[in-house]
Amino acid sequence: MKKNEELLQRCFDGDLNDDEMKNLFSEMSTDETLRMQFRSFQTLRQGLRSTPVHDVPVKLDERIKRLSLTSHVKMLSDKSRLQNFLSKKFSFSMPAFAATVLLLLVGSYFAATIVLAPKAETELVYIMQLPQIEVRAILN
Amino acid sequence: MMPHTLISDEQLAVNLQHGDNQALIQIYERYKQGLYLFAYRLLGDENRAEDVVYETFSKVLLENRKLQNPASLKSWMFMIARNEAFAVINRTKKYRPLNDDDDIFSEDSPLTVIEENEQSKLLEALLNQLLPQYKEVLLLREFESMNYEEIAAITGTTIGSVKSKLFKARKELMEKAKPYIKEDAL
Repeated sequence: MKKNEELLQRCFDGDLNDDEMKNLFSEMSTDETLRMQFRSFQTLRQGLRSTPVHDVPVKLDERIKRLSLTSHVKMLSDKSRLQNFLSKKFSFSMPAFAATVLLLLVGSYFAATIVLAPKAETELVYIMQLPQIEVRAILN
Repeated sequence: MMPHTLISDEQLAVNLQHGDNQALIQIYERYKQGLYLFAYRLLGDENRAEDVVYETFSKVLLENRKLQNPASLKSWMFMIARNEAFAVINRTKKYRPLNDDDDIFSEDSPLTVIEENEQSKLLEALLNQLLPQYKEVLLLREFESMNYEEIAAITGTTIGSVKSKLFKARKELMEKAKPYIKEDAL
């Protein structure tokens, strides 16, 4: 698109400021082709806006009225109902979610290793079989 | 209750977001003609256009919480309608990606069906033959008076692309219409 053509289109679409408008009209006063193009754009717009207007079917009016009477929950499929439920009842921020998960992980680790872990059987150490240790213990 | 015209789009959208389903009817009354014509002109089929508008309002009802700026209700609805219409076009395989040097009309003009000197019918027939990617920008600009930014947001393209498609569509439409219209008209 040439610069003048772009200006012409922007003028046509109400996108020009006063200075740009002045420049364009100054160009058009000397440029026959640009002037013709402007007239063509105008005619096209008038033509397009006079194209037949098709009425909205009455059937559609009725469908939309029925739609507006339908409650949200009834309209939702099971999947989207679940999504809707989750988004409403369990809305939380990501940091809070991350902190909760971390807490659960740490908690379950402690539960598994300390609280719930089977108590280790007392190991019997036969001191007589370790004579050096026994000797040091006596010395200390 | 306030008359429909006194309530802003923003207020209607907020009402809907607060669960007032009557707001849907008010929004529908305000935009049904524009959305239906947009869909009809994109698809060229009454039944499909009706379904597109119905799907649009279903989404408006169910997904209105996704509308972050209630003041942009109109653009949001046209974006939904546009996406629904393009889904139909894709299913019917009339859509293909564009190249710059492509012919922007989808088929040769069946202009024999147009009665002589019926300019509006001629333009409607030509409009129907434009590729959807060009047609949508022209429809949003000429019939909904949307600015480049709004059209770019709805169609998911850049402002530059919108300007370029608009110019090409207008120019080509005029070229196609010229032989069939009185000389002083175009």
